[in-house]
Amino acid sequence: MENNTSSIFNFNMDEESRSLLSSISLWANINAIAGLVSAALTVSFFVVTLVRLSRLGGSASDLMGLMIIWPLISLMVSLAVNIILLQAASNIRKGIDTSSQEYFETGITKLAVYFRIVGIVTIVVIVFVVLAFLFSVLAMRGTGF
Amino acid sequence: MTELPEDHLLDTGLHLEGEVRQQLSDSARWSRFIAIAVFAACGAALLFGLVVGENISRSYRRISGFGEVFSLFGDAGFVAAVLIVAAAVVTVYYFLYNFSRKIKSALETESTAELNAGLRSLKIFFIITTVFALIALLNTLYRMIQQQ
Repeated sequence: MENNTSSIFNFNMDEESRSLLSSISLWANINAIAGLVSAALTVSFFVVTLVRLSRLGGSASDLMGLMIIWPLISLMVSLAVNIILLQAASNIRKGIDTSSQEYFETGITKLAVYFRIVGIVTIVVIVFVVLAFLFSVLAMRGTGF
Repeated sequence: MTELPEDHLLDTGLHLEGEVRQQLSDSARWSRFIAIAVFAACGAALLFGLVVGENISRSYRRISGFGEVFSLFGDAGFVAAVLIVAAAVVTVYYFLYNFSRKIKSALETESTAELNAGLRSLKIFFIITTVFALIALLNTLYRMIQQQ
């Protein structure tokens, strides 16, 4: 019982931890905003390119359905990841500024969710890359490359 | 017996207990996985570069002007480019790996010094990735302006 109490109250953050968390929240905030703006720009750039391609003729528009799905998925993942990072950063900042355990807890939880989503995206990307590699090896063998 | 003030955290600072500990441990576990996956991807890219790099360099030089960038390093241009990119990525993700390692150790030993070392690594990781994100953003803007 005594150990439990001491473990809770000894393992606290000092001024340096607060300052580091404050910096982390600042940079994470800029990172998330840059990510959101970048995602918006990429999508608008993509839409403009698609519209130009569709003006060229029918063959380009046949591929359009397939071409739209991939950026849409990327956009949704990018939005989710960056919004969660933004929430994590702002809650950690509020927690530090107001010494509120509630905000701090929410911020750290959102940061964990952020890493979890990035981890899952990493798994999906690994699976896609491995499959693409296997298919290209099989295709090369088929054509006698 | 005096009652504790409603928000006694104002006196003692923020606590790393219960939910916060659990979430920090979760963050450490996932960030470790992400860092190791990136290290493995860089290793695979290097291996790929070593196996087919020279062929790719020659092909690029034949079909486009882009190969001129690679030709600065001779036939091994592609391998050199992959090596530089992989080294940069590994350096960035080393900080994420270090964050994971230090936070795990901090939670086990309840050491504030280890916690700070982990947070410092996470801060550096976010600084570098933010700089890269801004460069990517500027690059997208530049391409958009060029297309207009």
